Amino acid sequence: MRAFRLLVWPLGLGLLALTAPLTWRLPDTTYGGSAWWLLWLEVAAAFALLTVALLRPLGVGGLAVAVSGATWLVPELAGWTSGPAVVSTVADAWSHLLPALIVIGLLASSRAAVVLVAAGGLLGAGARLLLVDPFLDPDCWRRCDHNPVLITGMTGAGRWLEAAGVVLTASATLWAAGVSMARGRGRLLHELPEFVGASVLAAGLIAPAVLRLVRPEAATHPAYLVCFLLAQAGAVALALVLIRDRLGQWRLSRRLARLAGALESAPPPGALAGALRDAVADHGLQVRYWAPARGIYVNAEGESAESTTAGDRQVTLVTRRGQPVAAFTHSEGVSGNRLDRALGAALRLALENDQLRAAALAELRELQLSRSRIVERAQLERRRLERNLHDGAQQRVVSLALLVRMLGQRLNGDGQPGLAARAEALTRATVEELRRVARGIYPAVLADAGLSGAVLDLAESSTDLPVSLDTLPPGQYTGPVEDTAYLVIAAAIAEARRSDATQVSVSGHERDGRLVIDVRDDAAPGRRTAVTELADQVRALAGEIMVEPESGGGTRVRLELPCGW
Amino acid sequence: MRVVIADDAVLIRSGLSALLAEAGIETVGQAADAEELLRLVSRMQPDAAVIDIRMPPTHSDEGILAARRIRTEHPRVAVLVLSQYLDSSYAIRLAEENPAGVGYLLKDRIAHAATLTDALHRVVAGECVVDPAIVSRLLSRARRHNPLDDLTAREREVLALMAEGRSNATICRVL
Repeated sequence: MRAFRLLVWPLGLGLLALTAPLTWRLPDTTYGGSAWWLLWLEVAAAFALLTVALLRPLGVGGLAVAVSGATWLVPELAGWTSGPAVVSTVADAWSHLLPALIVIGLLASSRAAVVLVAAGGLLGAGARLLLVDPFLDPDCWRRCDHNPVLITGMTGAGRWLEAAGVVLTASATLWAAGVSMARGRGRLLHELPEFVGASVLAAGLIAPAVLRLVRPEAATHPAYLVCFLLAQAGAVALALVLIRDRLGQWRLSRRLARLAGALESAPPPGALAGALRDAVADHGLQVRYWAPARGIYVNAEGESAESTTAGDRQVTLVTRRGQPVAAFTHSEGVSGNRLDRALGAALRLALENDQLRAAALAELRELQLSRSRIVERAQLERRRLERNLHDGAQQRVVSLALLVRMLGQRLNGDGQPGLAARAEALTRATVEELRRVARGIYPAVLADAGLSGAVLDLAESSTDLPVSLDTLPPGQYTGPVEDTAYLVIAAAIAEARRSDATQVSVSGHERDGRLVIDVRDDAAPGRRTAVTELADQVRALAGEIMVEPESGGGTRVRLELPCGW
Repeated sequence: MRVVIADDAVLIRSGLSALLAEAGIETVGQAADAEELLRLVSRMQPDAAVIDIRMPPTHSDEGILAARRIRTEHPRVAVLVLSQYLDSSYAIRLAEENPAGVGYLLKDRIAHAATLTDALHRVVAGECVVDPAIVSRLLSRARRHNPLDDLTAREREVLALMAEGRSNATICRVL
């Protein structure tokens, strides 16, 4: 294929060089005779098509465009009346094959379209060459070397077959163009100039064939002249569009290569996106990285980043061995394919580096979230247990106390008051015990009156150690935050009691979205295990807990929790 | 005296009703949740409502909210809230706006017919009743400079009775 690409120009130029001088000297050529610049325009179109064949991807399409470019002037040879008759006929029939070659090369997006267009072209050309032959001179007035492959006497059928070929080519072309338009929706804007150029070119070639079915061809007829000009202009425009695209690609590659050179060491996260934005001159360009463990795209900081395909935004995926690395969201003015192709090895490496970092950060974030969810679940579970206890066992024991009391009143007459009294005392003790257990599992007042209400009750229930409350933030916090703060304060008071403190004070405030609580007492720090055991739960909410000695010989337990959990 | 009882446990409602009947107090209606209670109160116009603090649907403090609504919408109906919680903040929330005719008792007091009927009579008379256990908890709270330490034992006794919401005449009688 590479060899073919190298051969396109020499072969094409050779054929052109062969046909152009011939055409030049022909007095009867359709348009060449009328104005010299028309012929030059035709030569320019042939060069343009050879250029298009060079710039487009290789394959059947590329070959078709190359052949059409190389044989662009062949139909002109139909006017070579002094030459062999078979050359004129083949040259004339070739005008049916050129549109088919152009459509196959530039518009057909499926195998079926290629087959249909090729069939139409071959049918038209074959019928003209084998059955119709407009140059047949049965009386040998001007030329006697007849077309040797002509089957005589079938002109009528030949005209019908030729018409069928033209109709097939035209309809298959319309269908192929419609399919490429439907498929290209979204990225059409990019490929629109290319599409328009190819369509004009195909229309300029097919329209005269259709026209010829109803009226004979004449160089001076304006419709034929317009079609001729359209075809040449389409070919030249298409080549210019492709050259412009190629230049743009080359410039982008240069810019990105310079960018890669500037990234000597690993760039800070997010810097790559900024540099790319400058390089492609799209200030809305966003880079999102694939986080494989979570199966989502994240930004450079590891935060979940959903695609924003609003308006004219387009998404281009950068992959490595089939695995997504990053997704660029950019405006339609930037060609995604071009961007992907222009990324050099160094930029891809930097991009993958950023992806690894973003994916690790995303994982860390998820870990933090899952820890906080565990704390939240534990808190909800304790709350549920307390509710079950309250609505179940506690209710029943109260009912039991009621029954025991009523039973005792009846038994009084039987002279066994001692037993009933003991049962009553036991149920009362059970009620109190259950109340203490339920409060230990989860203080309902925390949900009903918030942290300040719950801490007030902690202070009120302390009969041996004075607990004074300074200002506590009155705001309500989320369950996990209130619960954790309450547990830490309760543990700090309990530890102060264990360390023989004679007074405790609790104070708190909110600062920069963080709840800060200080529990101070007048005992030496010691080990305070009940407090330090809560450190994991506090850290799960991205908070901190510190036990520090105070200057006067006391201890300060400081808790800091982000309020937002 | 005519009362309505609100508690989501049938066992407690029927036991309480039987106990009150023995003390000559008529139960004119029973409700399982706050909405039903409010309907009953406005239809029956009882002398008092005995309300459990935790009822459906959220099982948090519907009882207190219902009690406060009854006091504003039907000022002639006294309320007595029964609760498992010793925390003073509930009693404070119940009585903070208008302490007259409201009471907060621990739920296990219903086994003491005398305590319960006494509390009911007092709230109907317009007094404010606070459970003695909550009062003693507040009085026995450890303080760095406890102003209560300056009181004599007799004075503390009087203070406790005052805190429970008893009238001067009752305090005289008790002492």
